[in-house]
Amino acid sequence: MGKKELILQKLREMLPEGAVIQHDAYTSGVAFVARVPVSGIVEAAEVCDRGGAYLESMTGLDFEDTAEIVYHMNVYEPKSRFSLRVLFPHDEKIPTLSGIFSSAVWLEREVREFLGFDFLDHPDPRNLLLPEDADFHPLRKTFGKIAAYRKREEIYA
Amino acid sequence: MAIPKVVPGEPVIKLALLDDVLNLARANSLWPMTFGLACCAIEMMAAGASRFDLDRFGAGVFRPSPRQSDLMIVAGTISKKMAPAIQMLWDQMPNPKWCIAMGNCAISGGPFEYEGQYAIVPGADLIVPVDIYVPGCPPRPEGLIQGFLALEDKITKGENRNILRRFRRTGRKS
Ligand code: SF4
Repeated sequence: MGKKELILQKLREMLPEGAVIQHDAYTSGVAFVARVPVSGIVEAAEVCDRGGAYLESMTGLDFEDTAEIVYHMNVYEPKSRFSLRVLFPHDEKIPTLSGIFSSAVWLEREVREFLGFDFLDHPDPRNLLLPEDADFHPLRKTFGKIAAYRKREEIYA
Repeated sequence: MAIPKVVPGEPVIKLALLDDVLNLARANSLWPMTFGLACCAIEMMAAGASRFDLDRFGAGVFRPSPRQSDLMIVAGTISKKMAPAIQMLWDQMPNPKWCIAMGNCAISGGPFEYEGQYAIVPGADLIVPVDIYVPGCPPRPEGLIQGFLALEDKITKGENRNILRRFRRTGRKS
């Protein structure tokens, strides 16, 4: 069994029924998606870390009814990328993963400045790409002239 | 003995011929700074490589330090976060120094300048004094070389000269 299957098995044990959806055909670029609650993200990340996975990238999504962060993890094996998705209300603080993956410091800084999601106990909450004094969040759907604020289920059927 | 009148800002002793000689030397040994910001920098590297060979004009010595260079080529998009660093590099260069704004981004923001944009400085001339503008997205290495020649003319012959004089269409009589 590969590292990815071991992690999948561990996450299945940890998370409730139906939270892990497998995509065996790998058509969307991930082997499986795990929907993780905010309280369980640190634990899930620890499982991934111990299983040999690394944090590849991190992104955020802004919906009218909820905010979402997607963690892409990968293992040095073919076709093993998988993602952890966290849904949370806009004003909730997310636990930082920088204690587990050092690369999360920069990724979280980027998510914080562009989407305005706050991280709990982040070691270095400065702006990464925007000017130091920027107080706007360009990837929020309320920024600028964009008017495409939708609910999550309107986009993900 | 009459004391010669000193005009503020003018050198007391003027050595016209020496200045001309020095300017000729400066124009033919421009040392650009190794410094690129975006896609235009790739074209600048091509201009420095063997096919286009900036060494023909004495400008192929890209220096890794602003203290050793006298030409800054602003090659690429200037993000707001980068602007203070560019200003500092410009201040670190010793006089006399010149600046070429290469590409539409460095001239006016290029494709990234639109109403409500938050990320870039639209134009190198907003942060450093620019001598030569080379338009294009990106300009071909020939365009940059033309910019170099125009700058050399500006250095040797002064501001007011028609800097495009050297570029005549071939085959034209006169
Ligand atoms: S002018 Fe065009 S090629 Fe040059 S940096 Fe801007 S976008 Fe890139």
